[in-house]
Amino acid sequence: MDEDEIRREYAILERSGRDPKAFSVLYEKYFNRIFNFIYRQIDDEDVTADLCSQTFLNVLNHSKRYQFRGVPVSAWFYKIASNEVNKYYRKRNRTRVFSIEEVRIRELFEQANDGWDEELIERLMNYLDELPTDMLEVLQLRFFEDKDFHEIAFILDITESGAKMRTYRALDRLRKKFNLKIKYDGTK
Amino acid sequence: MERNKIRLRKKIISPSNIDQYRDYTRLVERHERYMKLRTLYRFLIYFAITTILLVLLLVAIWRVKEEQYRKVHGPQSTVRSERQ
Repeated sequence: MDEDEIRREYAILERSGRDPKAFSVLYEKYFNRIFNFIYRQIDDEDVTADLCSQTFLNVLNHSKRYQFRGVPVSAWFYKIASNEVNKYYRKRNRTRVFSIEEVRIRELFEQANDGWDEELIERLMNYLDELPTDMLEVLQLRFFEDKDFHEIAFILDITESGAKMRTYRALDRLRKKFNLKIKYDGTK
Repeated sequence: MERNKIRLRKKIISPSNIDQYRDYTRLVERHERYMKLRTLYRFLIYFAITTILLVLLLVAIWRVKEEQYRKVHGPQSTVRSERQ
């Protein structure tokens, strides 16, 4: 996405403050992505629908607040969605769930089919179970949402080097423990 | 340390499935309701602030007048009015 396009989307967002109908373009474009992003952290369609709707409502209600800070408009959406998810878990005091599609896991690791068995998947799940939430959040944004480190840092309110460090640490452990080749190392 | 649960999903949630939760009209309605409530809330805040300021102003005026009255009629006038 080039800077002109990013600025165009900010202009739409700014216009939404006066004319809520203008927002439909952004809503249609990003609804599925934000829904999937939330769903991976909730694993319940109805709750996800509520949080997704709340995310877009928050954007629309405060559309004048969002200024261009070198990241696309969608980064604001992810940031708000992430806050909604955190709020949800804080209120209910539940164990946080990360629901990952098996297909995406297979995509992530360039693993030969013969070496990819149920036991390996189970060990991998156990390993991911033990990772701290902040590392899982970074991994999710990096590998399932294809976000660059600049955007990840913005979404999670951390520094860019912090985002890189968390990713590399998690990947390094994965490589050592499972002897896996990982598709993207993320140098963007 | 905070505990997480990792679940492995065989299926990817389909776009047509997500579409049933997409409701832009309802979003706009909720937004308009929020804007109305915000306007009402702001109005109430301004009204409360104005009322408080007005009361303070009236108290200040009353005290100035009381002071002037005391200067003109002497301190006994206040005592007499208190006895009454």
